[in-house]
Amino acid sequence: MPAPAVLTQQLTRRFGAQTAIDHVDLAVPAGAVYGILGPMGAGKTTLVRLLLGLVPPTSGSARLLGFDVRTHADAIRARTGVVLAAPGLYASLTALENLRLYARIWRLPTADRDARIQHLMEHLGLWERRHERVAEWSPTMKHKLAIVRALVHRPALLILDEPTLGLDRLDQELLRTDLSRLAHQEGATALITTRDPTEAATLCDWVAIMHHGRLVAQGEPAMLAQQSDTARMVIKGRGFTPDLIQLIASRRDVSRAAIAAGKLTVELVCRSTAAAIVNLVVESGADVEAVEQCRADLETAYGTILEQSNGAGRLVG
Amino acid sequence: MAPGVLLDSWTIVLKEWREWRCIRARLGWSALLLLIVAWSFAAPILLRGFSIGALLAPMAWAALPITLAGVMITDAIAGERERQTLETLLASRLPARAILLGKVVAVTLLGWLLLALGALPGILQQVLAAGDAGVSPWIMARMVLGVTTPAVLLIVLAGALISLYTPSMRFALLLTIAFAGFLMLGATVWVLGWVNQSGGAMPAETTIFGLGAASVTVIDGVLFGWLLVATKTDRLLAIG
Repeated sequence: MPAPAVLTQQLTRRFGAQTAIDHVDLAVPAGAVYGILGPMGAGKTTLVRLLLGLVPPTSGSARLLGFDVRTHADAIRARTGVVLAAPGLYASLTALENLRLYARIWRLPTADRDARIQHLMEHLGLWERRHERVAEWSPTMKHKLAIVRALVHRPALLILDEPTLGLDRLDQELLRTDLSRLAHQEGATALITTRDPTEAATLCDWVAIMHHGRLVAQGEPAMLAQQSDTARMVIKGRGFTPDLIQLIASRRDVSRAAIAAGKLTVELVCRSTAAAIVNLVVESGADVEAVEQCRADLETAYGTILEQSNGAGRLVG
Repeated sequence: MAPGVLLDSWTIVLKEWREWRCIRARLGWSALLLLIVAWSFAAPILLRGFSIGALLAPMAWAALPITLAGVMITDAIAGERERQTLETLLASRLPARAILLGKVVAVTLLGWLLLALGALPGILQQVLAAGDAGVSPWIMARMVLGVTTPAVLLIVLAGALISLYTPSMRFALLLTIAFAGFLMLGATVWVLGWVNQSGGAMPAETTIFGLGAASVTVIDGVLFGWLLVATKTDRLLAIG
């Protein structure tokens, strides 16, 4: 079995009295697309900075591609491609100048450099606009260019910190498709942080959920959804009053209740409470025609896991 | 220093120059250069009334390049941090020291270029006027080379350190300009005070040159050592 591309043990980082990263144990298998899913302030960006050796850990250890972040951060960064939440492009330079700068930083031979840049830019539909200044580009194009820049030196590990942040839905989906295709084509291990469960479920083979600087759950997206014991039930019928919906939503074993197109959708924290909800609906005088219960997706499971882990800890960006 | 670090620093030097070159402000650049050259001719004439005016002329020529170098280094470090491009650069294979060294070299060389533009026309004018300011143009040239040239490096190093220890670009800029003003006014007041204490007698040019060059070079050495020790990625990113 190959060694994990990323391995952390009890990794901790404090800023004064605040604990940004709290005893994180993470093992990212080589070749996997691994997602770190968490809300804003969960500590995802701090974790990325720790893994890249930009910030030293307070305690614990982290090894990337076999190198210790405390002693060999330069070796790690030399083998890693990074896209941070801000694309980090030089606005006054053209797209090609931005890429050539980084190719020079990575010391790529000139012939290989130009071919590689053309290949990647064509792949993401940017080649025709290579001589334009980046300042004139849309956020999506800037994000795509940042991805090209991260891949130009054929890194063994790709770290993407919220790569679709700030983009609209359609652009997010387009970028996700490109990312997924590229990550698999390049054969690199990819670590992606996101606050969007749909993105994590779409892109990642494995997902770890992070909250208050701690990893509160990890596994394959489908497995995480099953593990959480959450479920979604859809009740078809008539006479669902606002009071009834409010009453259901206020229950501790319900994470969400909403009505749309004559269907009452209830997200349950625990599957076993479904019968009690149906009884409540019937007792309220509503007509129940059909009840459908399905296992929760990652989005529902994520909400429940976060609620369960709420309480202790502090939020740091 | 390892050759690899120097090569990496050179990459940053080229990047910094390219960024300045690509700023679309051709009119702005022209106006700035015109101002520096005009000041080069005007300073000795305006200072002619002072007994030590000719010795102050090299300082006057350096005023604009020193201030501009302070602004440029602050923009290159604190400004790049605020434009969120510095973190990506630090996440590449370049060591933090190579990045900072490259920025210091790029801005210092630009500052020296501006100083040459500010001083050479004035010195040439003095050569043609056969030193009508009362001091040999060659002594003026020596003052420029020995005192104001390392003073440009001094302000660049000070600006880099200020940017490292100040999280906000705006405040780093204020502090750096304040430091540049303190440096230039301080040097002028020091020379004037010295002349006053010696009953208006003109001190030997070589004494002023020797003291000025020695003190600026020593401060350069101290600041450079401090910068090498203080350069850390988390400090560059103003984290923690």
